[in-house]
Amino acid sequence: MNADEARPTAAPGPPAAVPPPTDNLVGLALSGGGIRSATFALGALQAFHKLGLLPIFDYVSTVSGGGFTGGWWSAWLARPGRQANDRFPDAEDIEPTRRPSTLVRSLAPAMPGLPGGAPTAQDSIHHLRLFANYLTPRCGALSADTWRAVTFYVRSLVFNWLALLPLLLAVVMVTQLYFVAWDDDVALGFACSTPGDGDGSYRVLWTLCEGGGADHAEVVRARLAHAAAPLVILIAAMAAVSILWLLHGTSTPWLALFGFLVLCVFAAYLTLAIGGGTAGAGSLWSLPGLALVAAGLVAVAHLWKLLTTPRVNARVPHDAHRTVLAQWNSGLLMGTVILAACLAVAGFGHEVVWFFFNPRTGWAWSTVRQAGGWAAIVAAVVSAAWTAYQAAPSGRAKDSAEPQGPTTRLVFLVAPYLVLGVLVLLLALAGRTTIVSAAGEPDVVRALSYGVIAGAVVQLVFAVSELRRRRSPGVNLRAWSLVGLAIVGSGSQAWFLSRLGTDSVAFTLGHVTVAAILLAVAAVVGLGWMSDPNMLSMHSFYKARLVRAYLGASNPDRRGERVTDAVPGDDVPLRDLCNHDRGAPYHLVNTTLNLVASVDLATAQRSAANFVLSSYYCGSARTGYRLTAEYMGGELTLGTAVAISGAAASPNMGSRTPSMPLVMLLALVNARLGFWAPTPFGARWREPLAALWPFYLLREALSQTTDLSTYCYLTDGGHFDNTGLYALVERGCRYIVLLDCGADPGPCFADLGEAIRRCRIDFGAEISLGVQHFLDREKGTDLATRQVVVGRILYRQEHWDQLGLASGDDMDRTGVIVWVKPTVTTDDAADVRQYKLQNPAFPQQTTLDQWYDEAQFESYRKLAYDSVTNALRGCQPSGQLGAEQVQAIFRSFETAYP
Amino acid sequence: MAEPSIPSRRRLELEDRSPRVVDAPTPKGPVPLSPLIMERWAIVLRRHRAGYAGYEQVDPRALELARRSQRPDTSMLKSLMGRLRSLGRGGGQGGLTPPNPT
Repeated sequence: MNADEARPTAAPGPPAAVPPPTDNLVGLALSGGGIRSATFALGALQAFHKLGLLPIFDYVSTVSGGGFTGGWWSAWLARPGRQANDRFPDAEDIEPTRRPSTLVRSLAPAMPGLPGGAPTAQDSIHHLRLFANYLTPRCGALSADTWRAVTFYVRSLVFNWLALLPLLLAVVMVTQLYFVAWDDDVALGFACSTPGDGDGSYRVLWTLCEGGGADHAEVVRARLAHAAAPLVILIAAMAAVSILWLLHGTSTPWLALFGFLVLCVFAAYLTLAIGGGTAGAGSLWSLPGLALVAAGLVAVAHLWKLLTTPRVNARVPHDAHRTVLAQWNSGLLMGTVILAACLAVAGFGHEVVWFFFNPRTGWAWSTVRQAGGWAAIVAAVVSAAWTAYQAAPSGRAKDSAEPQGPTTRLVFLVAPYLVLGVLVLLLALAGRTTIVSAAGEPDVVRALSYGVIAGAVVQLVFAVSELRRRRSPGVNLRAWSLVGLAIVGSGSQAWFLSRLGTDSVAFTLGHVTVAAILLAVAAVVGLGWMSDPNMLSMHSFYKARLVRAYLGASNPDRRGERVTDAVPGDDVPLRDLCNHDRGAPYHLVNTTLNLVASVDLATAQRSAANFVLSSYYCGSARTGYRLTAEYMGGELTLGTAVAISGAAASPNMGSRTPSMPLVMLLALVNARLGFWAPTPFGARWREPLAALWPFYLLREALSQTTDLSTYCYLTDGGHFDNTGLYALVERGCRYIVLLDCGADPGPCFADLGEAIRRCRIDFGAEISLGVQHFLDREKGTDLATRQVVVGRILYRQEHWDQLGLASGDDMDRTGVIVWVKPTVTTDDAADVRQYKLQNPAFPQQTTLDQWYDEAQFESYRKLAYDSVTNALRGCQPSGQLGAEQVQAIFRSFETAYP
Repeated sequence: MAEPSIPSRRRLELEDRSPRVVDAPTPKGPVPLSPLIMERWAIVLRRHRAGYAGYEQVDPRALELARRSQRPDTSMLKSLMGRLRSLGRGGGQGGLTPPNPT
């Protein structure tokens, strides 16, 4: 603050009082597009600064790559020691080692400008140039910086797999437990039908298996029958519910009850007919018995629903019943499909692996099978790696306008199914091998049991900690289920230990399976409790690289130009941003609140909402808002905000979230840049760290992102609006300058089209822009005719009124929008034209390329600088800045570009 | 619009998926700020700094808000102490009512 500031003479009134009118708001939107948009935005900001236009902007709304440069500018403004008129860094200095003064010096022993010399913060623009390749500035096999990136990725990947693989293994083994629990020849067959009979560890089991007379084919047949049993029961229940649904169409409740009795008879007949040949019909646990139990449960549930449904005119409304029954049927169908898949994997997955890798046929056919198996594994690994490369760090899937090559399309189509298929088959083999090998070794069984008991202690500690921390209404099911699991697990293991050696092999098989499942869960809980979910995704790496390149540019404590990681002082707390206190625009960092799993219709199409991070507050219209100084304990930094805003590659990407298998694959290969932040209205909005990170990893992998949970998943702002326009229109900015740098080689203006549509749908704002200007080409060339298009924006009266803005007629609600798009014209500089000739895709090169070189960086910067300078040269402000001045400036834009 | 959530049907959840309602008691003192009002005050201050005509005298409330938004205590030790205290009392709860977007 300035010393000559007008100080309040009395205690200041509450700031909530209505501020003076701030009409004629001016917004600057820096769109997404990775390093391309960041570099273009830098050039444009330099041009605005030179033309004296920066002070007209009230807001700067940034998305993704635009946020890199926006964050760089805000960090520069937030550094101590800025003068009152410091609004933007001065023009880039000549690099110290290349100054002419070095030529005229005597031959000194020490060269100036070497590492450890001048502070970087003295020339923050030059710092950006040096970090044009911001992810790995020093590429090459011997670069420590590159190896740090590789190390980080591998480390995060391993930690994620340490959580994911045991969990998946536990799921597979739970189903395998079903086969083991039958405690008959099938269980033994499941355990010992391995061709690997030469292995000594299987000897006892093999003996028993052979003694029972079960050969492999018979065992497989029996296993099929066991697998079919629960599926038949579910199908019978579905049939029962379907018949009830039909009966409810025309009957009264009592007629429906009669129909239900008929149904019971039908269900009994059906189940007896289906299950009669497979198992003894006299036992409750036989197939018919279980089917009858299932039908009985349906009947009881139906009766309960019938008796508790509110009456309308003393009658039960039929529609209500039909809806409930339809929901039951959906649930039963889903359960049947999932159970069938689990039983198939758990019961027969190892058979598939054996088919490829352990055939008992001739040499030639055996070789072909093995080759096929290895080909599938190699293809899975390669396609997974390709998916990770395509997805990270740019998240090309975000750029809907950017076409994907045939290879990428094919990989995205096939890879998820291939990788997940290979993985579950291997897990099935691993689960079975674990059961078989451990069951024959009493020492291993004991060790497993002690491990489970130790794991139960970890679970209890975690649960107690959870219960102490959380005071939200309702039962904390996560904590109490862990308490239950710990008690049951440790108790069962103690019991198993006491009976070890006295029971059958099948008993030991069950013991081993249960112990392995419990141990996997305990390991995941213990491991997951120790870290932040955002620490083990690629978010922290991405943030560190962005911070050192962009925010570190103005860090006065940073010395020299060494390639280092982020150093203390690079990052800035978000609450400390003071753009507005320096006369610069208020910075809105746009991110996307993912709502892929939300149940309300409002999210059905978009699966996302805008989530703003700024110096005063953070939040979204769906979640409410919190003061930034208090949200997450005030620990949210600008670097985190910028990294979230640029988190293009994530399993969940709002409305661009891919298919479920691809989502799972992206989570598996750790292509995760998103951020788990406390939901502003949630119980833990002050707590930055989410406990039990595997839980959040699973939510990402299963697309369970919503705004109703304690922590919400934030990703790239471009997953909702890649232009930054939405936030400005929401605030009623009458004048907008949009730097639209999303990849658009077509061009097809996908980002702008989506933003205009959403502004019209959500706010009723009509934006008119002449897209034809950017489609026209100079005769005989592929060069554009325009770099700037000016259009109009008409706000709706209702929106205007809600914002409290003064309005008389349509003209008062009509504004101007200046649309700047990177295009090359005949007037551009020679080096820019040369770069275009050498690289025809310029200036719409793929977002996949985040590794810019010097020429690329300078070409985009210079293109933007010249575009804005040439377009707006005659529109500089004259005299004191004010509302009339701003109007005159934008009127002159309209005149210059009709 | 979002469907109204029914609290009684959302008791058992792995996560706290409670409906979007105020989770903390209404604070005493100044009326909670809305994001829009805070932004307007920021822009008042910005225009003053930028030398806008009509904004020569800055409203002290804009300065007050700018001061309030920045928390000077950022030391690691105090942060650690705060966390320990938070753990001791069972986690940070309460706070401002989420302001209305407009």
